[in-house]
Amino acid sequence: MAYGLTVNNDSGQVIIDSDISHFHFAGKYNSASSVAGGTLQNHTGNTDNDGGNFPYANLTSLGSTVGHIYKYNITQADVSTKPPMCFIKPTSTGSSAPFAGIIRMYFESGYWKVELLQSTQTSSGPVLYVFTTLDQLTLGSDSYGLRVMDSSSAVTFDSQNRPLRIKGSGSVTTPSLAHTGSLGSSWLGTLDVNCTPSSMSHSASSIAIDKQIYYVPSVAHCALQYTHSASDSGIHDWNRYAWARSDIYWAFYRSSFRILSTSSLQCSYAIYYRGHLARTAADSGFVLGLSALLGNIDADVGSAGMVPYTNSSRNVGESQGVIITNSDWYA
Amino acid sequence: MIEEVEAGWEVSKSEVIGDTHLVTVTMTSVDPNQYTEEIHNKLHENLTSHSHRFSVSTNLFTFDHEPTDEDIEEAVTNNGFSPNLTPSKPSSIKTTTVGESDVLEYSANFHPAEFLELLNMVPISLDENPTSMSLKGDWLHLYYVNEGHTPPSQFFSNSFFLYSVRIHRTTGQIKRKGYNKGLTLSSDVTDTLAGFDSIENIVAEGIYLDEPLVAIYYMKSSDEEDYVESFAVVDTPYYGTTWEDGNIIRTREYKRNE
Repeated sequence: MAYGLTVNNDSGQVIIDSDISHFHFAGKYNSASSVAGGTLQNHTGNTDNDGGNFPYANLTSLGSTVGHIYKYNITQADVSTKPPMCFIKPTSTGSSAPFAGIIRMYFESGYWKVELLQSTQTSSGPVLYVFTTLDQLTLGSDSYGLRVMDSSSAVTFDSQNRPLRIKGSGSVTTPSLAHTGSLGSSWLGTLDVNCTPSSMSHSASSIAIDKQIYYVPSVAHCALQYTHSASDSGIHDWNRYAWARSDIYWAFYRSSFRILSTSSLQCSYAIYYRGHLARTAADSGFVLGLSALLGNIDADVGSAGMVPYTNSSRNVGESQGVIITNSDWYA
Repeated sequence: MIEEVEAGWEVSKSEVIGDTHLVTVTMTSVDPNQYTEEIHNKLHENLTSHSHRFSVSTNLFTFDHEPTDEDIEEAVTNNGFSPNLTPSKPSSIKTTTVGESDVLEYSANFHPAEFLELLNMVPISLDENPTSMSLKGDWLHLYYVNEGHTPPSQFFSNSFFLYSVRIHRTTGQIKRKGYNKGLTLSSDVTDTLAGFDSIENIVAEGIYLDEPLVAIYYMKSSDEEDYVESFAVVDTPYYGTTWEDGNIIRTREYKRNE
């Protein structure tokens, strides 16, 4: 090239290129608010006590533990075309740590709104380490360091603004389903996450485990559904009886991640939305199909718009890039 | 009306993601008892316990290969699926008394052969056949359970929850007993019963009309598994103690003949 700067490492990989808008540190963000994942649960209808065998069990249970959503407001000049890059500093690490993943970003009221789903609620949510391009930041005023511009004189790299330093990377594949095996039996769905997390090794092991922060968006999701219906009528204890009950359980999951050790990261799922509807009647003629549960639309929460599909997953099976860096560099 | 539902399982959705085969299966279970219309009508006329239960589940099963029917059959079975729900046809009621032979009570509908054999031993003419019978020594026991708890007028004029009539198979002598749910006896009576204070969880009482006897039926313990929902159905074993002139003469255990 006739102008500019390119810096490569020993492996020939580009470290600095004046034609590339490098990402620089834009700040740390704690969650501004949080809310539990979505839950839809209700039971309506009559029961028939005369039968003595009406199945009251788990009429109001949920069958799964919903995740918790932490919301962040990222300040940035351009809130429409240049979303920031958010690294997650988890609340804890290791095999008991919750899984977390960024599930949504959108601009609103002068902020980039970021939603992070964590598999369980913690007293304070993960901290986001945010990076963006220099046109979104105030340039440093030091008279030393390295500043690189492109052909339009736009600054694309500035050592004063703490450029993103990637220490390790790898790729991870999301498990095919959040819950492998049976989803339940009788009147209880068991839709908690129950799968073997997939793992990824990386080369950032020199960073202390509690200093590691990672970037990987949540792009995989799955939805599971379990239904059970029963009806009975007859004579019991010299009383005529009749009853019917139909239940539907479902859960919608997003992929999420955790730091397992200094050299590995795991991917699993957290429940974003869940539900359990139960409909009962003191009448064995009550329709056993689940359409009555879902507004006569279909015996499927996917068709009813609760989730996009059922008993399947999307965006799994593909390697997904992960970047690791050191939070101490951006204290 | 008896609803016709076919038991079994069928694949309602299948998909392959990566190496995982996702199979959604719909499973239908039905009550295995098959009644003819005639028997069914009789069951209702006599208010005899029976059910017409069935259930339908959908569940997801995963496999690391394309499953065969045998694979799916094994998976649904391991998940607890059976095309037959727990049989609702009850076994006979067994009465156990220390020092005596066990006695079985046969239902007219569920054990017609045994019932008929006992009915043919009755030495008197009956206006109304009982709903179940047993034989204890030379005494035929006839049990009546009627809609609205209407008494069998040949033997009773007072109303009880259930009725039993004992008829000596050779002499035709008759002794009667009515049953009430819970305890309606006054303390004037129960205070005379030896050991009454130690009895808890009373489910029924037996009033002897022709003898100075009183019977009280009670749960085996206060544990949840010993809770008696219906003393007449005998869904859970329980005890019955009989007093004569205030003294205990026997304690029996009532249960289903498993």
